[in-house]
Amino acid sequence: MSALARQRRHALLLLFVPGFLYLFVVRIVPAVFTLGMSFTKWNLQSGRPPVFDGVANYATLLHDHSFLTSVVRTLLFSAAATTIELVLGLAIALLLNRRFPARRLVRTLALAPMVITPAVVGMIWFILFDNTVGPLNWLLSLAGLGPVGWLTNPAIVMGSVLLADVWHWTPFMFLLCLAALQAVPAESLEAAAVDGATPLQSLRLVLLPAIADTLLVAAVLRAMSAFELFAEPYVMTGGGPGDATDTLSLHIYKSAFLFFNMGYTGAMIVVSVGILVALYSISLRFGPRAA
Amino acid sequence: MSLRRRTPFSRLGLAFAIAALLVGTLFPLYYMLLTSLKPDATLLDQPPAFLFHPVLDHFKMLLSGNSFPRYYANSITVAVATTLLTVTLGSMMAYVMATIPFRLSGTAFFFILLPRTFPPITTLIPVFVAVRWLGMMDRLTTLILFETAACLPLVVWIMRGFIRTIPQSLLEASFVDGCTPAQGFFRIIVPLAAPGLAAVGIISFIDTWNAFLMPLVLTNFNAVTAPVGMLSYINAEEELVWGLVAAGAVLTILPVLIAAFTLNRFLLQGLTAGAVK
Repeated sequence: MSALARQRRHALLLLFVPGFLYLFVVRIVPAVFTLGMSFTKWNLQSGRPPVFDGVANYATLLHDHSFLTSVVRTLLFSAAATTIELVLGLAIALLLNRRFPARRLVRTLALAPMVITPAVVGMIWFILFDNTVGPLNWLLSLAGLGPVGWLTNPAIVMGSVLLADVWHWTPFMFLLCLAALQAVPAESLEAAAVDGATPLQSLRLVLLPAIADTLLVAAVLRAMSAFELFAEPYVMTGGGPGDATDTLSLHIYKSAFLFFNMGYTGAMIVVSVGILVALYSISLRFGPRAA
Repeated sequence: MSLRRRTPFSRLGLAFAIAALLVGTLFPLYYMLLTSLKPDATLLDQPPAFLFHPVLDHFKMLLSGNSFPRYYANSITVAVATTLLTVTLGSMMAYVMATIPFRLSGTAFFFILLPRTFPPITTLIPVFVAVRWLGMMDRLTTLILFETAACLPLVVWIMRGFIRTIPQSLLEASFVDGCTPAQGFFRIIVPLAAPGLAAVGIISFIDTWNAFLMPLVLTNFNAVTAPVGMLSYINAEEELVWGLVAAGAVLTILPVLIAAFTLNRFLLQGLTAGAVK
């Protein structure tokens, strides 16, 4: 073995292997453990060790109304949030891609919500939605509307969570759309204009096809993280009123850390990861190039 | 240059749209700041008071109490330690992946990125059980250990790309001069990758600071971080605690906003530069 090869081996062992093993033990092993525990009957409070129970947990899940409802609720939320935020984000990117004074400052300010701590986003909207300290119902009353039970009316509370999410994550979509728009060569837009295209035509025929891949990646990333929504409803509603904002992550959290049904919760986790993988595969079919 | 005709009307429309965007984006933050500065007497006024004599009572109460300074110090410790650990470990791993060919490197990369696609909740139960069994509940070290693992995949991924853009000839020249690959990392790569290291460092800091689920499950008193600790003011059910909630929220997002404005250069320029390439 040459000196360099030996030194490379040395560097591999010294710089790579420890970090890799660490990651493997702390992230991969627990994931495998979760899969394993989904086939057991295991309540942490009972003090008894897990007992192998076959696919019993999965069979129960199929008839678990509150779990299935929370899956549907989360999927609907994820689809609505992704669509609204993508459209708004693209519109804002088109707007802020034009020339105007203080453009950098405006762009920076428009990005701010994206980095705000999710638990704080929950608190900010908890304050805004409140009847006594919040301004929203007062603003509505100026227009002769309301008052609205933003966080107390089960029929609309998911919409309130959605509103907070749109405020929080539209800037992320805007950022990705702006980056993609800036990469579109100016010549192709100029050529379209010379050919007499209206702004709307050049958007549809030149810009959108050029940034379609980015839009798809942005939508997939956002849909997946919206599917994991946790901190905001935890802070704003705790899943209520009733179970109106019981998202999948909240449902899993409660099942594990309030009722300590670890085996059953394991099955819920496996099913939700399965849904994520399925969604991901479907989206890849639509745009193989984006992968 | 613009090919679009600029009429006074379209310019007015543009200004109006930008103003509406900024109001929508900034009003929630502005209202939170207002609430944190309102004297208790005007806090519940309807219609809400927008002009009042601001007071720092809530901030003073929060910072002179027993809990919040501890939450805050915990958040700083965890975020800083995690950032240093991830950036160190992650850039070393990325360096090996980018410059040293080895068998199974593709498989290794897959296993590094795989956890990134799992929702955080997937590994939380085994982690919780193991931490409890090992008697490591409610410790800052435990949080740092698991937050580092949560950030690491992204850092390896970004830094691997970044290190690949550094000309390999520089590294090879250092080998000819007698550097070992490990020395090459510290003498050549670290100085050249400094902007990338700073960027991933800031991203790790923001990610860790914002973490909620992990500290919620793994702490209950000593190691509680600011985002989780804030909940005790919401759940207090006491009157006039709104000011404290708002003041705590303002203090909690302050470090993230500072970090983000520092990162802004990388976000708006770095990202678009990458997109053009």
